[in-house]
Amino acid sequence: MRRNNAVNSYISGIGRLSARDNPFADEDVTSPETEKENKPAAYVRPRFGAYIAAAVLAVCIGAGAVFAAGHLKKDETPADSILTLDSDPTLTVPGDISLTKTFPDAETAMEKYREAEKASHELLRYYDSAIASGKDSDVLKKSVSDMIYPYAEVCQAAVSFLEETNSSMSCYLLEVVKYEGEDTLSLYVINKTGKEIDLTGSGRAHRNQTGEKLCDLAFSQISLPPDELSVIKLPSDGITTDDFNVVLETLDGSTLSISAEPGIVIRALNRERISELTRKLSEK
Amino acid sequence: MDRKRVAGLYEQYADTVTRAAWHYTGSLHSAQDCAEEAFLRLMQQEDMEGGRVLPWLIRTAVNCAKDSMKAFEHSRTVPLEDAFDSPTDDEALLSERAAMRAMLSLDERYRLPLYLHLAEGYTILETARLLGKGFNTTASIIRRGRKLLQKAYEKEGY
Repeated sequence: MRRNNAVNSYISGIGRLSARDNPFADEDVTSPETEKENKPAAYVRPRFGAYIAAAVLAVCIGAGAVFAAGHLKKDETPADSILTLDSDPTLTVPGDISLTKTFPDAETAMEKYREAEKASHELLRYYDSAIASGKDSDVLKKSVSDMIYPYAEVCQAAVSFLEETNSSMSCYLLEVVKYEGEDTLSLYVINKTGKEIDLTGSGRAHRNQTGEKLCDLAFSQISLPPDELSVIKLPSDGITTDDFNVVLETLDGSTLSISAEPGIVIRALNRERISELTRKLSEK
Repeated sequence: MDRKRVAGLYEQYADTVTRAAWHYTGSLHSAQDCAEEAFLRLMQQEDMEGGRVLPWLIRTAVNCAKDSMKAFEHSRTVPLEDAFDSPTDDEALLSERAAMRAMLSLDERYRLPLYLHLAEGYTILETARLLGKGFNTTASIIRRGRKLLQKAYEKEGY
């Protein structure tokens, strides 16, 4: 029992630390309650009243979700078209994205991770377009945010599974993201060699099918800790295809080979835009 | 910003800001100094929107804490308070101290997100927003940080 209470002990310990008495206080000091009214909910520590408000809000959100459900329809379009954005404000949701958080094997976990990640990127794109075209109704916001969170949870579950599962593979490549406005590719990999891999910062990219060399790579030296999700940022100049193999040099003289399959590269929104959208989605 | 409003904000946020700074100083007195410094600087700022205040205060106090740790007088001091090292047989208190030491042993990038998420109860999204980081990055840091915290805690003999 004692082995599992690091968090509880920490929370209890940190709670003993407090600030000094208010040096700015005088008899006219603004009460915290008055001040709180000016703050967004995200920054107010929940107190008893907040729990009541949250319960009321939950009921309202539940009602909204029921209403939203009536406006959502299953996707009947081909699998590669996850979302349909047309003049109709109705949101077409992916029909075959599984929200399972348990996986029979590593391959399934990777597949589910990619599906969920791709779907959440598509939803962000959809949301972005919906705002631009003036369709950001409360119901739409709620519908989209309700779907993004479950996808994020699937990704987290898949990463945990892969980090904790023994593997015959040296590295899992979960996804490759190319953010708009950036000239790098972000490779999300989990090192399963059982030891830290130190990359020298140089390597080569080849076309997977033909072996044709695409470009030489030069990037920052990085270390990939074992059994953890790491990001390798590569210059994308010269890698013009989704189907490539990169061979990266390591400090111990060996090489690390990572293959990307066609379709794995996700072209994500601009990072700042993602942050802004995430912020908007949190303001529900 | 006028003194009256800063006083109200101090009542509301001072503990949070002090605890955030402690994760970099390891000393309560230094953390309290940095929190007060942050509120003093807040008085010199133009009025700012409510939602921006806490992130600003945390950032300012943490910067102050980092600067103070670089200062010469801190370079040879032991980070934890005497109070943490005072003898006790209280099992709960000992485990708390072990957990606090475990937290301070983590890499800096884990401490603040873990504190905001675990101790202050902010969701991952709110934590990401407070720190100006992406959701996935923050989620990943918190998930990994929890594991590292548990490992460090176990190293303390728990």
